Amino acid sequence: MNRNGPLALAFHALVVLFVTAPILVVCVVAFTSRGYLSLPTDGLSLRWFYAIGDRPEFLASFRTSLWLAALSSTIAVVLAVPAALAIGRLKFAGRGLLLSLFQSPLMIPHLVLGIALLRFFTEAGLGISGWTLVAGHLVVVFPFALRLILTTSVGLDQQIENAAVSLGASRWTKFRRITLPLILPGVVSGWILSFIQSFDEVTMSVFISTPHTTTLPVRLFLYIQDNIDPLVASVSAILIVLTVIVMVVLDRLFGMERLLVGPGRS
Amino acid sequence: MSFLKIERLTKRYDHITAVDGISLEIERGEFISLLGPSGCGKTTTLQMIAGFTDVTSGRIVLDGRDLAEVPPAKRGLGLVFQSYALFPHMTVAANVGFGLEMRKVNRADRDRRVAAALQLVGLSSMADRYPRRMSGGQQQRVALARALVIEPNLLLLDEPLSNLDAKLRDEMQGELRDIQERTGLTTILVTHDQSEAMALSDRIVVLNKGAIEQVGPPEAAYKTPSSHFVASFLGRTNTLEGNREGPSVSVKDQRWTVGEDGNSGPILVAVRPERISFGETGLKGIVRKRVFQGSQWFFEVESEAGPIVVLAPNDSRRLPGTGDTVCLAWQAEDMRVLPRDRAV
Repeated sequence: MNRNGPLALAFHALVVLFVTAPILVVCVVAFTSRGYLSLPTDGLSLRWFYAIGDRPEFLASFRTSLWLAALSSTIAVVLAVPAALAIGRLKFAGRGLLLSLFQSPLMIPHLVLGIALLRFFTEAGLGISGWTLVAGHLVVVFPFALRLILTTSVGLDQQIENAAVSLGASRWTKFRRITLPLILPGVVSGWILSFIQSFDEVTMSVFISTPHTTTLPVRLFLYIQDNIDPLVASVSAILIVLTVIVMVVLDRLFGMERLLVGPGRS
Repeated sequence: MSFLKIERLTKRYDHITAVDGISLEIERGEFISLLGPSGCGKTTTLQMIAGFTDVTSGRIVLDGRDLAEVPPAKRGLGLVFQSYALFPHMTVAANVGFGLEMRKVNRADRDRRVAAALQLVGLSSMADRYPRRMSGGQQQRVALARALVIEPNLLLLDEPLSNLDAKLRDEMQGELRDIQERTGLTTILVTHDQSEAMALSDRIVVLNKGAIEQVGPPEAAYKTPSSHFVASFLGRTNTLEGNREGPSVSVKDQRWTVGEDGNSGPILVAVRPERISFGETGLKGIVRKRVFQGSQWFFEVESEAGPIVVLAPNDSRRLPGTGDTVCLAWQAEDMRVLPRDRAV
């Protein structure tokens, strides 16, 4: 065990404070009773939480964001599993090229991606809709899904699969009973990371959202262009609480460390 | 008709020939070792029998069936891997039962056969454990039980003991042989460990550079190696340059009469270190090093014919010390005459 000296402890405390302070401030501001963003100095109020009820479009956007994130990360994972298994274990011509191609969305600014996709979808006559939004998000989240699944599939012992085959397992049975459970930590963490990326995405989504498919971040972004009131703070506070609940549940069910770091050896 | 027949089996990769036309016949119930250094093609041969590596040319016929037509999942072979290759997310019982599940054996029968297999390898109490909670030796037993429970027609062992420590390896060797004798399973063991091969097998197949050097019972291969490679790979051996004139063989000024007649000319003589004794007459040399090894002494002697190693039993006989001048002697039947062109 490494013991931290007092200096190191103080440093770590400052880093943690720096990271969490904005989150805490937003949560506190959400309870203000004033009509503008301020720290509640004269008593707490749930006024701005009630105010969300008067704006059903926020709830609709929240639902849109959840669906969009769930759908795009699920599709991303389904596509990334075979890609990761092939890239991680087979040697074939163009393997490096394929990997770079799959990872390339990471290097393209989302702004550029948003404009490009908008042009592309309209030129192609597809227009923009919920489906094109899913497609756009798929491009953005796929590298994250691939990366995490790749880390677990690279370390996979080929002999384990051979053992299953020698015992009589068909290709599909081998995948379902052996390969998939072994790469599951990567699949689950890849899905979660993709979900977060998608839920969080604003820059690209602004370009390809329609009035019916406005995601929550886009809704917030558009809202603060016209109004600066604590509504955004109360919405953010709810998101933060929901995130914490999900994290705690995941940690209880699977163990956060295992999901994000991969299965521990022994 | 032999049980397993390998005919001119060849595996070529882009530039290398890993297995170069191996032919071999194995009888039912035999324990065969494929022995050789790494890169000799022994594992590739096993992989081809198992079906994980494509065959370039040649045939493998198991019990009258050409394996080329049988996919690996349908070959019904029992495999034990060097890395154990247990399914880490399944319990011991689930690991062992996997093959039976694939064969759609019903629950009750499966449980009964898994229990029997675990008993066979002495792990009955660990059915509910996960592999990562077990020692290497225990994991290896699980792997063995998993291979045996499907009642394979052929058991393939790929360096199964090389990840275990020496003491455990000896123990597992005994058990392996025991289980093989009890089940009567035809077994092929791939190993680079000559003592393991000699301890376990009915016949040894010595491989070098993708080809068979020698096939035979361990004792015969050890006693009468057919090449310099076999002689040096199976245990320690001294190889000396000599000359042959008809039935007579000479090394320096020493001369032996070997039974059979042969072509005259330069030859190689192979003598096992334990066959050489210190005497009044013989090849002269100076003891450079002596090491006590418990039941025996190990000597390195700089002789007229080059360096020679000698193993002498640790009995009441007086043995020379470092720096002593000695005479090395051996009987004609203790040496093996090999052609010189096979020198390595």
